[in-house]
Amino acid sequence: MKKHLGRFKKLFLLILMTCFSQVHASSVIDSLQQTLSNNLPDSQRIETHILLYKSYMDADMRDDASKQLNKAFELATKTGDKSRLAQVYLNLGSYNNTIDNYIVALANLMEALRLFREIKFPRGEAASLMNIGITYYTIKEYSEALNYYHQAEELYLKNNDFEKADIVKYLNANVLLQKGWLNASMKMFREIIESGKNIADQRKNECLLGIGTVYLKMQMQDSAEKYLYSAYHYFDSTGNKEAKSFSGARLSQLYLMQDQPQKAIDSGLVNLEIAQLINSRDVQLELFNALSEAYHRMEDFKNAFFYQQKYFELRNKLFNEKSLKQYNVLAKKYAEDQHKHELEIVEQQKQKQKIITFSVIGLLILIIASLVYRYILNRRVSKKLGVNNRKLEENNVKLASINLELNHTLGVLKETQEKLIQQEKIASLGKVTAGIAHEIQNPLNFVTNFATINNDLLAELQDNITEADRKEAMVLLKQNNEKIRQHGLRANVIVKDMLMESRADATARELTDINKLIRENFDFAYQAFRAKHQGFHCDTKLYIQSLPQILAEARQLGRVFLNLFENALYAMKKRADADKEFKPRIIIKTTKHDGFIQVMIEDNGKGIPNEIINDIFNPFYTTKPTGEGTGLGLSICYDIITKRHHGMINVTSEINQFTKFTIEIPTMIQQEAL
Amino acid sequence: MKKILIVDDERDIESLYRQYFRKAINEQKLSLQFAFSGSEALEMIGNQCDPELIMLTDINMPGMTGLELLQKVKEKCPKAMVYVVSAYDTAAYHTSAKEFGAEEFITKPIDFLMLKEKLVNINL
Repeated sequence: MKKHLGRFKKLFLLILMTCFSQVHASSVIDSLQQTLSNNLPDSQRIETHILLYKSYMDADMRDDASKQLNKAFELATKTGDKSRLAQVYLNLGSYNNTIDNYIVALANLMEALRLFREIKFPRGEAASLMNIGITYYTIKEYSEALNYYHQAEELYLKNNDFEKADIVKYLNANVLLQKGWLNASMKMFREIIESGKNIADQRKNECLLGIGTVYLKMQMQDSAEKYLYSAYHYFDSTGNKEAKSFSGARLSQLYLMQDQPQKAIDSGLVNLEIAQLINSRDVQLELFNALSEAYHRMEDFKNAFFYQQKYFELRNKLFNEKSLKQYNVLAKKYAEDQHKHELEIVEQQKQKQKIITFSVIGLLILIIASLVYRYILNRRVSKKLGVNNRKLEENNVKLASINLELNHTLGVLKETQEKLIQQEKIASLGKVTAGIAHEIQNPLNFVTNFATINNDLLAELQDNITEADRKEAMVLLKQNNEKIRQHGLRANVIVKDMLMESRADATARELTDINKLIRENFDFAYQAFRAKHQGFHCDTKLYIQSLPQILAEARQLGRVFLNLFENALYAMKKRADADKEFKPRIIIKTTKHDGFIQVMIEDNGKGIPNEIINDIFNPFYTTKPTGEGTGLGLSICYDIITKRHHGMINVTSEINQFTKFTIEIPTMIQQEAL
Repeated sequence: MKKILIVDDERDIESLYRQYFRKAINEQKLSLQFAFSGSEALEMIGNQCDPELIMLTDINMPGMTGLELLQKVKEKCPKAMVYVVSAYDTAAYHTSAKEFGAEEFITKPIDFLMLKEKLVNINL
């Protein structure tokens, strides 16, 4: 869903000019028109046209606005004034973005960027970069957006324009929010609020709205409520309708989460009216969705269906280019058909003319007959046209309903898929547990067998045997004893795994010392691995910062670390098998940050190929031979970190160089969830 | 003297066999060779089939399984005597092992004393 878009478009204006409020727009337009009637130098004339464009945009008079921009463009091209031309391109870009003409917008902005660079005007350059970022954001090309925001922010900072840099940062935070990087997004919103002493109330509250939304996505209702209310009341008091309705839409979602559908409806309808008044499509989208859900819960299916339909209609209008294209093709076909019928009419009329000519020579009856014929013909033709129009309409309705159906099916499909994955996960976990039970048989057999042999050896020692035999028996005894210890340990790890799998309180939250958890699990993983692969050794570098205890699902987190360590050891073993010179090394690093703890685990094993790095968190994805991996390990890790702890987990790797997992776990969130 | 090739991915198995069969080895009734994967075993068997090849293989191993190894060995050396060992005592394993020409299916945990008797008394 496209969120925030409306507000971003508003930002275009904020960034480029002093904002005229709508109340004053008409008087400003009048005075600007007055200015134009004077004899002005071209440069001033261009600027006045640009200002007029902005005023018309503020008054929501797009056609007039576009005309002003075209005039400015003509003049700037004619005079070859690069600086003004760059400004015009910048505004053209923002205009085309507003009317959803994204490709043209990007072309305009790139041209503006090129010109600003040519005339060495960094502020313009930064504004172009930022607007390119906004356009990419609009079309959901988030990584491109981040890239351009980053360049814009750097340039603004270099030129000490901290306010603008903050705006970019705000935009950035919203991209992160969209990408679901909730903690990073929250961190950025907070930084903006905390860094700027002179931060405008408007911006501050936009950030509060952002933070509230992050909490909403984290399903932390109380915090979300606090922030969203605060933003809503502020925007209400300043009369900022767009931001107010935006906050209102989020509040409706919150009410739904709090299971207060009636409240969601009441507030939703109020804000919907505002959103429709100011034509903010993004807010409408969110509200349609929330209202449909709310009515559904109230078991008012008629209204639920109505708003669902509204939602799909608008969304299709905005995003479903494919069906739009299809629609256009169909509409064109009908238009052509209609045209064909018109031609038919002409043809028929021509024929009819001939008949009339002949009938002039003929009898009066024939004339009357021809008139009657003409009457019938016309009726038939107009009937045909009417049928055609109706057909067109019918087909449009059909198209819309097919769309609705398709969207519904897609939703059901997604839900089913989710359920299927869940079911398979459970089934597979059962298999894993059964496998573990069998797995435990192996080390136990070793323990029994080595102990049996040792008994025999001890019996031999009691007999009269030679010194050489005695020495040999002692060496064997010692070796066997070590094997018993190793296999005992191996069984221990397996039991621990099983417990984690089956214990009911495996998800209990407790105050957790992450460093301790890491050390324990590394020891387990390493010893178990060494028991299985003798002679394997790896250099371990542990960089540990003292960390606050956090409230977390310790068992689950332990499982994540164990899994990552096992993978790291496995990857290093694979590389060691292929290269005798290779020296395995693992780096484990924990660091404390503002609001979160970061854990980094880097091995120098065989690495993950680029083509598959995006798949590794998917359930059932494994590269290990059958029986060695279920393909669930990392997918479960991912869920534990992102869903259960609202953190994030990332991976980077290079073949035969390294694989690095980075985990971030919020500290504050954990405590608030208490 | 009977030469026996033992295939198992658990390396400690070698130490167990050598100690359990110490006397038989010292008395030169048996000699043991070890491979830790199916492919390693095939390499050791090589192209020239030992007509007196006796092999013991585990089923669950990474890479080639014991049953796959059994098929390949029997294809190459139809006279080889292969014993299949597994902790997974399932009907499917039994049937496949028999179908592919295994002498016997031995269930883990292995009774080493019985196994030693069996091996020493094989009539080639």
